[in-house]
Amino acid sequence: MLKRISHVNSIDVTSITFSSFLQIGDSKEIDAYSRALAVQREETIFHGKEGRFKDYDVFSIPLFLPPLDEEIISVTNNQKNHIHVGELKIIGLSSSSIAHIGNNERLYAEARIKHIRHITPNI
Amino acid sequence: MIFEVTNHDLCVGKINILGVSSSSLVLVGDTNSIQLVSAFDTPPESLIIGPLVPLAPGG
Repeated sequence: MLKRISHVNSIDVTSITFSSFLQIGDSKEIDAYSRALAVQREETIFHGKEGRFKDYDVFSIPLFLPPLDEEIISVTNNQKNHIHVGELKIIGLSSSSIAHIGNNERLYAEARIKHIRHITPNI
Repeated sequence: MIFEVTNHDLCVGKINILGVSSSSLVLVGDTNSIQLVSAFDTPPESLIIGPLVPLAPGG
């Protein structure tokens, strides 16, 4: 795999959360995986140890991906191999997302999120 | 499939993105294989209207 040299003048990234990352430069293989229980409540009381992933099937259903079995003959001639980025500005990277300036060989990212809304009626 | 690539310098002036979320990718560069998958679930029963009862305690 071709190696590239990455030059980035200015980076302004505000938040990187939940197994996301910012990569400047080459990488070989990336696996990012995240599971989240997104609970929004009218009364913002949370007990910290709540919720079990096995209670919800969104965390266990198989996710089918197209197989990577296509026969590709790739011919690359590398005249120059620099990457120049003037300015990179990202406010948020979340739940196994990747900002990557540089080369990579194989990349796999998976995110599973269960949203729950809890409204307490005013009696 | 025959895929021929001639690589020169790769120059990007400015990238301005609000958010990159749930297994998404911003790539400036080459790659061989990318597999991104995400699943999220908001069926009707995930809307709970009732007194505050915490979820079952986690492991």
